Amino acid sequence: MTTEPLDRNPPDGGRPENDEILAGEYVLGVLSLEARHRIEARMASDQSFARLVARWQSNMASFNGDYQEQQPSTAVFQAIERRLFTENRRVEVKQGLWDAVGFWRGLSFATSAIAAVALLYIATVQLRPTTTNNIVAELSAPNDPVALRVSFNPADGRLRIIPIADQSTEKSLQLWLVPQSGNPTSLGVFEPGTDGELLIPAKLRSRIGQGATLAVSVEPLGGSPTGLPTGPVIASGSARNL
Amino acid sequence: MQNSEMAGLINRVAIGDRQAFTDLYRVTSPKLFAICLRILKDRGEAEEALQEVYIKVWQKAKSFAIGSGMPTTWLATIARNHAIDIIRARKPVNDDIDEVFDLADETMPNPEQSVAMADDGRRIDACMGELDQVHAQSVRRAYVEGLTYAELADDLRVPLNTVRTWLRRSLLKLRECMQR
Repeated sequence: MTTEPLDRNPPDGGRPENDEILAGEYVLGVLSLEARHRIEARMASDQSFARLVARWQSNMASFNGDYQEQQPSTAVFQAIERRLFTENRRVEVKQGLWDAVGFWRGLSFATSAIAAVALLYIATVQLRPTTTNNIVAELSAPNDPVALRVSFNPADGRLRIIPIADQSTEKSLQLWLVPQSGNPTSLGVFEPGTDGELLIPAKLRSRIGQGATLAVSVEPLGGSPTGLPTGPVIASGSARNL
Repeated sequence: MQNSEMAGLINRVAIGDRQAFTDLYRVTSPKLFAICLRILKDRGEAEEALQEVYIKVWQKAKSFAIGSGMPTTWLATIARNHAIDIIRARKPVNDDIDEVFDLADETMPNPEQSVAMADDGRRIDACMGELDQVHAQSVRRAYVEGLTYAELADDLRVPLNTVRTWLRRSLLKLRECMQR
């Protein structure tokens, strides 16, 4: 039986101080683009190395005091808004549901390439009749805490799509109204086994109009215990008149 | 603006609040623009970079909500990383990085035990004061202006390897000092 000496070098043959230097050089910015990319890839997979980088970033943050504030031209923010919101909105109008699906897949899949593959995985479709003769399908992706329940009533031809939390995770999805300033207000929790309709309290109804921001978060079963969103926000968007 | 207020704004940006995004831009863009301008040294390029920076801020705001740290540091890091990536792409650095550094006899505490995000060690300013003045200036200029080892070497009229050794030793001394 062999025993590893306690003070052996890390498996990469480097020493702790080498990682400390590499992390510091990355934060200083002296490295080549290729080296920067290598380091960023390593940060994604090596948490203790990522912590070394984060610590240098935090330590050297006081150097940011050397940057004397300068006003950019007003055209810059207009261009940012145009790129972020105008182009997105056009996609939203055209794509409706698929845009919503994009939100769900964004939750658990890091890259759009993987997410595209994930859509192919939406194959765990279980069709089963219910007492009301509705046909129900649950669309989910592996490891995703959120599923879409599609319920279809053949009698009237209505199809509803309801976001639900994965039952095995014992979470609920909660809908929030996000005001321009101040805290989000709960509009309700999506209850499993219902048709996805939420009854909005009378005093909140006037606040849901053009431009209001709605968001859905994953919360402990039954809804947020604090009255404010506690879990990750999986979808959000602005309301508009159709 | 207080850090907690700014963190609140970023959290609201994370849930798609456009007003919060507008407010965050108004408060923070002069600083982030200054970063882009100082590193890129061209107003037009800096304004283009600033667009990209805020698009990243919008997209990455959720990761701030989950992580921690100071909001100003988080924002400045996005801006610096973007600006530095641009100049490194434009002017490639020939760094045949000697991955195994030859800085024997420096002793380092175990990073696993000692990494703490809080500013609980000595402040870096005090530790910079313990470095040789030229070395400290090199560290600071590399950071603030986004210089490479070669650019620093040209500027200081010393061989590249000398500058590299200065900075690497300085990093180790700073770390040792801040953990003291």
